[in-house]
Amino acid sequence: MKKYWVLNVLIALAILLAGCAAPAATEAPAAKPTVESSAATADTAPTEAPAAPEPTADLKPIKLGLCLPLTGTLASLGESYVLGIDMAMDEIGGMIEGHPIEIYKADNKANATDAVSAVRKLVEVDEVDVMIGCGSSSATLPAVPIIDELETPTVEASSTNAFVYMQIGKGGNEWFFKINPDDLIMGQGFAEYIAGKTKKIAIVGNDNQMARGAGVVYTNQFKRLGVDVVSEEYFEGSTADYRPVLTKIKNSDAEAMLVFMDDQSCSTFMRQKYEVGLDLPMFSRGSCVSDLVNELLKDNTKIAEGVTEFSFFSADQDKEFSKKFIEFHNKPVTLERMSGYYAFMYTVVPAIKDVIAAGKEINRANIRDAIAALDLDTPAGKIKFDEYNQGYLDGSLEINKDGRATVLETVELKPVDHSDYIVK
Amino acid sequence: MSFSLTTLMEQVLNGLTLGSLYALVTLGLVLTFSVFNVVNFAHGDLFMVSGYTLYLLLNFTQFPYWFIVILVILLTGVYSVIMERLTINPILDKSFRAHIIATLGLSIIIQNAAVWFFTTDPRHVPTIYTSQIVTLFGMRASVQRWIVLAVTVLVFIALQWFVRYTKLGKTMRAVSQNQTVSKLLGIDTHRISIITFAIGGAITGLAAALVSPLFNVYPHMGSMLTLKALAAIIMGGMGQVNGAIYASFIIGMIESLFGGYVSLAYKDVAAFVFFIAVLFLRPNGLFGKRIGL
Amino acid sequence: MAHKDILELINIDSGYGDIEVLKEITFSAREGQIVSVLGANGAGKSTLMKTVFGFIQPTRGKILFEGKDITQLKAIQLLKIGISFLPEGRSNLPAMTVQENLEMGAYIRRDTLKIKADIEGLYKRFPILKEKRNIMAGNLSGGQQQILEIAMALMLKPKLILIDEPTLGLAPILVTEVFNIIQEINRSGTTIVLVEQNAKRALEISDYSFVMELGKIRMHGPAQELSQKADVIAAYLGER
Repeated sequence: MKKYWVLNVLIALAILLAGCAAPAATEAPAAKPTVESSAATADTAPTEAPAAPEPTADLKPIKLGLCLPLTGTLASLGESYVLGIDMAMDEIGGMIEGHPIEIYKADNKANATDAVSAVRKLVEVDEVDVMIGCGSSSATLPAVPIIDELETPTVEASSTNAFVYMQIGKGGNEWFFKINPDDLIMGQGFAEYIAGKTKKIAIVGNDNQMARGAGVVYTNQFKRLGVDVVSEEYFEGSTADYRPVLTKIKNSDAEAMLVFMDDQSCSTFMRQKYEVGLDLPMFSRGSCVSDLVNELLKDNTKIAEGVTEFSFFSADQDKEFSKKFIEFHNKPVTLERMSGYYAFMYTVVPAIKDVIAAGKEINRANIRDAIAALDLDTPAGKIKFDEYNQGYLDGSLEINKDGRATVLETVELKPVDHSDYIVK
Repeated sequence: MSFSLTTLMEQVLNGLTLGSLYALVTLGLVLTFSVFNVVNFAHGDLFMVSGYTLYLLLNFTQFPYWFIVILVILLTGVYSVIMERLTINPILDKSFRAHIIATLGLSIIIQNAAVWFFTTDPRHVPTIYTSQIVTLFGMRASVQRWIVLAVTVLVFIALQWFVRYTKLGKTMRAVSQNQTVSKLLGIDTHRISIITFAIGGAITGLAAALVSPLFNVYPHMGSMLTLKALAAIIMGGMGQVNGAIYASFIIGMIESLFGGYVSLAYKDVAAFVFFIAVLFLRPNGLFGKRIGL
Repeated sequence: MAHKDILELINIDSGYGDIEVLKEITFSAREGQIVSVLGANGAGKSTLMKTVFGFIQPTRGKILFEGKDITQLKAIQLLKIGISFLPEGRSNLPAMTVQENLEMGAYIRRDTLKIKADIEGLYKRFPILKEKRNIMAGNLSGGQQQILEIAMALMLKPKLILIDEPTLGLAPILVTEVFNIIQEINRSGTTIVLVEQNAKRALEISDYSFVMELGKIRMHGPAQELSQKADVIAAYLGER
């Protein structure tokens, strides 16, 4: 009996481990994506969007698929997208030119296998017209070839791994559009900024495609700029104890730190950095400077004082959005909350309006062509895609002062040659 | 990086504090496991619910922290008993697989309920001690962290005394060894089940009230905690309370030293490789004996 | 010696779920006697014991203890009115010391001080237990564990002890010792119902015996009388 126990516990541990980043791993993947219309299916529309005019009954609904991490360590990223989209849906009354919008969600758990099945589910079962996702580089990278095969227009607004760029647009996946800049596009300027402040740096990041990709970009840049990378460490998303690596950095000769982290990890990381007395300047390319992080650290504003981050979609860039968002959801603004809103409101919606205005049929190919042709000025920068389906929002250099993120500089980002980018 | 004795000393202390944290989380689980042989996969979720309870009490009441800790301990004891009544008790006599399915299912339900009520936003529950830093034995740590270390040791000693010398403690040991014999002696095993879960819950509440201010509280936090606690329990020799506690400290130490000297990315891997090695070399666990609680 | 029946079973049917093991069992044990139940493996002896002790509910019939109906009572209530049960196989707590096992034997008692005195009393009676008081029960020899289990039962000063196969797997010399102890307990006034496969030895120490086969009582009578029909009993026991 005892022997069976150990075996059974091991099996169960394996189940848990397999779903380590995704605690709901035991759910059948096909059961997860549900029709969760935020405003649109006929029976829920009146309660969800009370101010909206009645959708015209005979107009074909537009199906929007969301491929996002809804459980696991990046669950809050997916939910943030949804919050942004919820607000946008409210603004447009759940319809575009009378066409009701039906929203389908699929959980990609920020990993490769679930990302692929989530995309397939949305396209083949729910038959969506357009998708937003997949939120994180770890899910976007494996999803890109599948989306190419399934020929469904998709808009992504937060993955920063530079390898995505090399697979989309001309000669690659023509269906995938990225409105946010990647790390190679943002890297040169920020690396030069950091090089102006320090010559010895320690790199720490989450163990995911975003951070690993950024690591490649910045180590290359630092080599060029003569900055010595003292150490480079990545940790599992579930890690909550960073003291070993902080102690290690404290006793090394690093003069500054560069981190690539999600807001959840970063708030705990900075708290422990303060605790072990590691008093180094900290630079961030990720989600360390945001209203949410400041909310999590509000008991002691000294913790995140002076952290400098280079990013896009900062709350300060679109004050009107920030004000509305806080009123609508009573939650702080984060990068991903803007990502969801922008991907929908400034990309999907205007493209579909263009399709309708041109008198064309609302189908996947026409939506793709309309997205490719967009040319919009938004408060956060330009949404206009180059031949590689890459958009160029503005970058922003932000610093945390007294528990508030302040924009130091807004940077107009330019196309960068990706051909010499090597993935480790 | 050059080797330095002070760094090593600091890393060992890091390992100790991390181990004490795991130990406190493991205690509640190993107690119910050792007495009833039920592996409760929803244990980490109990911790999570307890963490949110702390969050709500700290934000919406004016009570002092120590009083809130007591409230969280009592409430978590109650949650644990409710969990026992609704999920564990009906399957107490069923197969081990039934235990796994029922408690994993419960875990998923609790996590999704937490997403529903609290959203996936992480919450922080700062106390006055999280920002007070004290240096002891050359290690800088917040008062909160020192409290966790001290309380773990105290709870461990108290639990030793409790199971060894009190009638209730002896009764729990008796039930853990043989339920049929316990019934022969006139022990009401269902009552002991409730009491054990109440105590296990109370310890979990204490753990959550002290540990969660060091981190954030979020709906999916329980899975990794359950995983670590189960690893400690198996490594310590299925249901050996002491063994599980020592194993918690060993896991903390491995993670800290491996993370500090080799690679942070693979520290969990190191801990689990050690875990698998232990199972191969000593199938009854590091501290597994044929008998003993 | 009193002459009333302390335990009576009237027309008992009992079993596990749909499987009926005991059929129309009528059985009685006189106060102060050693009553043995003999039978081959699977004759239903252990089921009989479990039914008396409330681990199995009979589907028909009545069980009386000192004339009172105890058919519906649970183990803890039976312990309180003076019935103890030593089931087949080990029934101690292997990871607790001898001393702790004796304390647990007195679990339902509340008189802590008196318990200590009673344990000392048992140590005088069974010096081997005193010698091993701080040893884990699981580390004792089989015979010592059996003695410990009997001593645990005595902590409640029962009027009736049901003992199921106490000598199973013991060396012959220990069998004698255990039987001596059972006789000694009986002499101090406790009624004993003893289940045994070893008919010859059991008949030697019993006052009265029942022989079971396939869930039924086949014959019964004073032990002395039955010993003279050893060949018949052997047939029932499946011995040749």
